[in-house]
Amino acid sequence: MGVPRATALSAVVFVLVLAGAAGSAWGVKAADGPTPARPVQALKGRPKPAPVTAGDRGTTYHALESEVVRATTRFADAVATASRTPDGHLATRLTDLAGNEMVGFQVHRVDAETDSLDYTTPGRQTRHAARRAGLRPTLDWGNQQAYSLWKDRDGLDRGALEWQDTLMRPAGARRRDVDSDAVQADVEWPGGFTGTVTKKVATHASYADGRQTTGPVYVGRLKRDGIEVGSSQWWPKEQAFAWSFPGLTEGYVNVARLQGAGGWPLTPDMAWINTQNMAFYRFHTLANSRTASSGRGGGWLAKLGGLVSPRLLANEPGCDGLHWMDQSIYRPCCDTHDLCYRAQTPACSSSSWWRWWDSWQCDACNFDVVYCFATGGGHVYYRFP
Amino acid sequence: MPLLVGAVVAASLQGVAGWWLNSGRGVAVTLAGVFACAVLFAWRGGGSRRRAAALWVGVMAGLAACLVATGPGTIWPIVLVVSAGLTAVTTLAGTRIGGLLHHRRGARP
Repeated sequence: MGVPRATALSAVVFVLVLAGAAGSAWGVKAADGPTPARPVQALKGRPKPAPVTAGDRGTTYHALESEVVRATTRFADAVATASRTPDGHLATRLTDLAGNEMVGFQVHRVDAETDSLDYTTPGRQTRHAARRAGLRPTLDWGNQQAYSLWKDRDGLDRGALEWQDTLMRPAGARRRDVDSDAVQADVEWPGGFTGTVTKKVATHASYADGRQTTGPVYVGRLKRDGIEVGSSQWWPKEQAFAWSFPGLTEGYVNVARLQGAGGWPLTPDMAWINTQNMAFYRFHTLANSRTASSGRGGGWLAKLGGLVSPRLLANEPGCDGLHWMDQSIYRPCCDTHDLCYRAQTPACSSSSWWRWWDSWQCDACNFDVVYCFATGGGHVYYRFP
Repeated sequence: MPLLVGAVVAASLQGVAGWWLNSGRGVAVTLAGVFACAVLFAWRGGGSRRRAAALWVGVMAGLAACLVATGPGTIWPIVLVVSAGLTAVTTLAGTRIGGLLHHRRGARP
């Protein structure tokens, strides 16, 4: 009886949170005295989450990234290692290939909106700057920023700094793609998880037309206690991302499959691949354990009752009504279809299949998912050494 | 008769493990039930295609009714196509084996 337990647990958590909030509210009131009442602003419907940007990749991404203990980015001429201090600050150390420290870079949290960025070069005065609005610092970003400032070292003394996208640069400096300078990114999570992304040049069958294509590829691997649990590949020229986590999930998405959902909201980089791999492993493992526990228990009456009053929502993550295939290559077809349905205004639903005259946008989503199911079987995930 | 039995068996098997295509156990239980029905009908009355078709239509009717009752998801036409394919192959296999058993029984002295 997974649902009643989950409901009871949710109720307990809700009551605890409510009691905690009431207690803290009372404490504040007792300390500060009565505060003037303010009207509550009403919202029409549920607001959509803020769009993903290069500086802010969304709540789920940053929640997973905040668990990273250490991130190491290897460049052709330097190695940057970032870690979280016990008080929540981020500290990056940039060394040469022999391990000699060259610069340090720290992010000090001042409050929810403000961070102080400190750049230290041995023998020189530390430079302080404020974080750009809309940028959520990550360990990988700290590594890139430290490396970029080190590369800009000759221009740092000459004048002011400016923000070029997500990086602080000397004002007027020529644009630089630090991400493409990185050759490998390693991350460590608690629980024995490690992620590695390396950049290579390889040949594979194109996801668009099946022809042999040679180009750069970022290969990401996730390991637990040294044993690989899954891998993924990002082909920048094709804008295709493929993954394989045996027993959990396998599939790919490319521009064509994401078209209905608005395309790629960001350009995947090494840090994103490592975080996405962790998300694949964690969320699919969680989904599997929930499926296993919800399938147990409950007598015939409860199960028959479930048919009359359905427990399942009309639109769940994965393949609704086909969850048996959730770990197969068809899963991305279903998730892309769900995204496509959600992106429409008004959102599409199961009735959009027979109300085809209402909205061609829903029909486009439906056509895409049928095409994806019809052609998805042709995909083969090639592992690279 | 096969149409009615197919509908009732398919619908009642959904009570065992929920909607059958949501889990491997559901797929195994439902296909085993459909297969057993197909073998039984063909063994008793011969492996006629008409009887097999009636059984399959009944099974699909029962499954479709259950899908509507549990709430059709966002890809329900694909779910029905997958259901139709799997149950059709199982019904044909069961009918074939049941037909062979029927002939063997008829040929016995």
